[in-house]
Amino acid sequence: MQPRQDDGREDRRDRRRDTVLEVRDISKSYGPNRVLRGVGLRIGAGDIYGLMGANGAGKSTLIKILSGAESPDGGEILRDGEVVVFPDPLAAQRSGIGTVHQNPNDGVILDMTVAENLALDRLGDRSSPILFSRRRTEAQAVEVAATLGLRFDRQTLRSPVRDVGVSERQLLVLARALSRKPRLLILDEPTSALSAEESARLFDLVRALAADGMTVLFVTHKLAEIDQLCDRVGVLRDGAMQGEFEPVPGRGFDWTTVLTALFDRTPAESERAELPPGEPVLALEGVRLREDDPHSLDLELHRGHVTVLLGLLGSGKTELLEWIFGATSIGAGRRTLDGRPFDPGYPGAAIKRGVYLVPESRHEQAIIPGWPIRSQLTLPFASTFTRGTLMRTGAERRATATMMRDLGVVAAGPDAPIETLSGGNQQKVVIGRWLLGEPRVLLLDEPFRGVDINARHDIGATVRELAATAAVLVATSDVDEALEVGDRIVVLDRGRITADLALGDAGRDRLIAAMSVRRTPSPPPSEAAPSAAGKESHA
Amino acid sequence: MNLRDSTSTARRTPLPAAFPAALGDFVVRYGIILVGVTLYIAFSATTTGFGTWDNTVSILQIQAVAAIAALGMTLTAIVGDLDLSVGAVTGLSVTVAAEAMIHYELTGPSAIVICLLVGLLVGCVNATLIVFLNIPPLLATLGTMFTIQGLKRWLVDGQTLTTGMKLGDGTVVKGRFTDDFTAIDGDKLFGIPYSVYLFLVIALLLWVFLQRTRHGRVFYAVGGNEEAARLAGTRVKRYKFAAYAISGVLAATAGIILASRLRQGDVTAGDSSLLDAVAMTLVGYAVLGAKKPNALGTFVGAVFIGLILQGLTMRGLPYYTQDLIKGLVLIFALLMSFSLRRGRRRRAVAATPASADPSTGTGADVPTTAPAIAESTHG
Repeated sequence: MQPRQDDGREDRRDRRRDTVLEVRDISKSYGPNRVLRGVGLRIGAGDIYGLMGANGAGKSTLIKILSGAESPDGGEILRDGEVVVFPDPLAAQRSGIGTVHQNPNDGVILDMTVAENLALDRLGDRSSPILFSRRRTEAQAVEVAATLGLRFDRQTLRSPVRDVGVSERQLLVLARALSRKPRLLILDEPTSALSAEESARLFDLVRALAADGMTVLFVTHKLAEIDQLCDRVGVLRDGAMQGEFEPVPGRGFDWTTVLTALFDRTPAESERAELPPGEPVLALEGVRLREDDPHSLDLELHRGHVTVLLGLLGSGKTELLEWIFGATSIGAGRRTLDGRPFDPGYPGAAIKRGVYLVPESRHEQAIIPGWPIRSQLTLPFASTFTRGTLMRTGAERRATATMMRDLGVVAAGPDAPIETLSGGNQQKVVIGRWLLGEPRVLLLDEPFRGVDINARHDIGATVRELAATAAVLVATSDVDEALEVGDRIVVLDRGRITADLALGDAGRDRLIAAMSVRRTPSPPPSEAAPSAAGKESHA
Repeated sequence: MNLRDSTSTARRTPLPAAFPAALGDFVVRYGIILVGVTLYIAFSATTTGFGTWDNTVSILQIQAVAAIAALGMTLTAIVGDLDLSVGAVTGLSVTVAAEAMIHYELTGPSAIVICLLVGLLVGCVNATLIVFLNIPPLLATLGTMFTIQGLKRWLVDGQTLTTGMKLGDGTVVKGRFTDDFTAIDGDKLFGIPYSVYLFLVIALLLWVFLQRTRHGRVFYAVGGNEEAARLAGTRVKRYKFAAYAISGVLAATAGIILASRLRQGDVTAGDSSLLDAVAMTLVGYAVLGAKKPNALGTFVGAVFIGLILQGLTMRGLPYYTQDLIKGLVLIFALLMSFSLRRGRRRRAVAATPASADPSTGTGADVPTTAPAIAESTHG
């Protein structure tokens, strides 16, 4: 890792005279949900500009607007001082803005090979010859990969993207974005799928690009990344910019100020007591995610407190949760619920025993498009709202109104279509669904994704209340979320438990080290320390 | 339908923008019904004999066969995709009924039971191919469609089975369509044929089933988001299986009515009802702005297509232009459900120098070309 003086920040500061991108008073609403309320920012040439915001602050929407995927309701975008309008992503690309989205799968075609994905832009190019040639495609792919200094071997080039790892996909998407020679590169939470080592490599690369004159907008909600990389940080909260900050020479960013802007309260206010565990409810023994896994894991969940399963993308936490719920099968493992064997062959069987899952992807796995809140809510327990087999919509509406009041769902009423709700309110409905039953075990997979800060606190409170009667397991990839909601934190790395700590023992550093223990033998760089100290007091 | 109709409650749009939007809403919701009623009145006023009771009933009677098949297809469209084998099953049912009564001299009721069982069997084959063997529904049902059409011809040696016909070995068949069987489409109660009652009852039952029962809602859940339905505890495969099985039974029912009408085992019978059923189901998407398959829509679609064809035929339209009319009606209905969008449309910003002033920058007013492009690309 490079010492701070050599990170190029001083050089870049001198060049920051021309404004590459300016955003003025951008607003955007989805239905009644005002996501952006007049955002303005200005990025100078060669800058690495960090954009921070908690989940749901409006970062993703702003990125979508800058990359041409969405149109703003109001405001304007200026490139090199001229007003531009992006009717589609291609227009943004032509204007020199390259975007790498958070989920690398959004940028690749899974069934095509690595080479074809790298050369995808040429494939659609009108000047390309009609006949497809693998040799030409691979040559182009090598060329594209070279813009990032990457060398893929022939076998990798010829394997489908489906078969390569998430970090390779991320690099592939990045290489393609760079091959278009953008003036401004937008990186949207690029490290969420990467290990500490891979992140460090990415940071070196970003610094090198900035040194060559490229401007970078780096979106993240991790303090350590801003600390290592950025010349300036803008904080977005509730759809508006809360301030811009620059590091104090020699001391780095003033995190207390940044965090206050980020969270609308001083960090210390969010401290809470750790709850003690109650009796064990669910026991997992000899769990192997894949049959050939050398290690197996055991885990016992207790009533009375919240257990967090912390791990990066690919750590196996989603598979584990879905297996407990009977939604997928894994290599091996035994489940015991309340002392009796528990072997659900399908989710319905798990639901009958009081084991419920709030799945990872709200839109793909939980919501029925176009349905009103009440039908979304009652879906798993529809039979309790019937006379004979006819639905009793009156009873359904009353139950929905009660749930909306209890969880603080902001919506026009029980018959409002789910799409008119904000992400946080949608998530409350998806969780509220299970409150109609009698939860013994509640599994929540990334419940705070795409959820605004207030809804996040509401959901956290609901989850902690539920722990009084049920064993609660929250899976997340975010250390700060883990520290915010958990009483016990279990770290998972590729199907193996690398740490199992009570909240009082679980510092940020320890957790981060455990999350990537097998990839980086030594603990993560000491650079992260100042930010960690700031963040820990917040958690 | 009732799951969808409250979209517009929370809207607060300024008047100039709201007016065309509200009009668009109205057209999308009631367009098909309005056009249908208007056409009915226009035909009644200009064509002698169109507005009579008998003619109105006969429209329903003509449409009953394809419409019952379309109701089954509606169910499959909800959970997955159109069941393309319904026409072939209708035809097979005609052939089986003729075989049963003319060749094997069975009674009417036993012929009906056999037809329904055959329909159920085909439905189960479709369901197995789709649900357990993972073949995409359109392709699986296309495969069974061809197979059944071939099977049907092979069953009767490519001939039309009629009373008193001579078989290949020289024997003359002695059986005939029984009176109770031909009564299905031939006899009337209070001036309405039994087949029309059957059609109305099936449509009503399916409507209640889909709109009001728990199971109906689960069918829509499976179609809306299969993974979400599964993770909410639904036995998704059972529902999908049931949809294709019921579709087979309904197509066989359609075939029973058709056999009762034709009174012979016509080898080409039922072939045309596939495309008619597809049109009815898809026109149904546009009824009340549902944008999804629904029983009321399919019923309205059947009546709508029926009255247009009947009206035009009575005004001297040659029969061979009927497919042309059906096709145009279908495209019109598809435009209503997919191209005209209701309410809450996303407005692109008018970020031109003209509207650079923040006070007018809401983008709700300036119809420049840029928003137009954005509108059309954000499908």
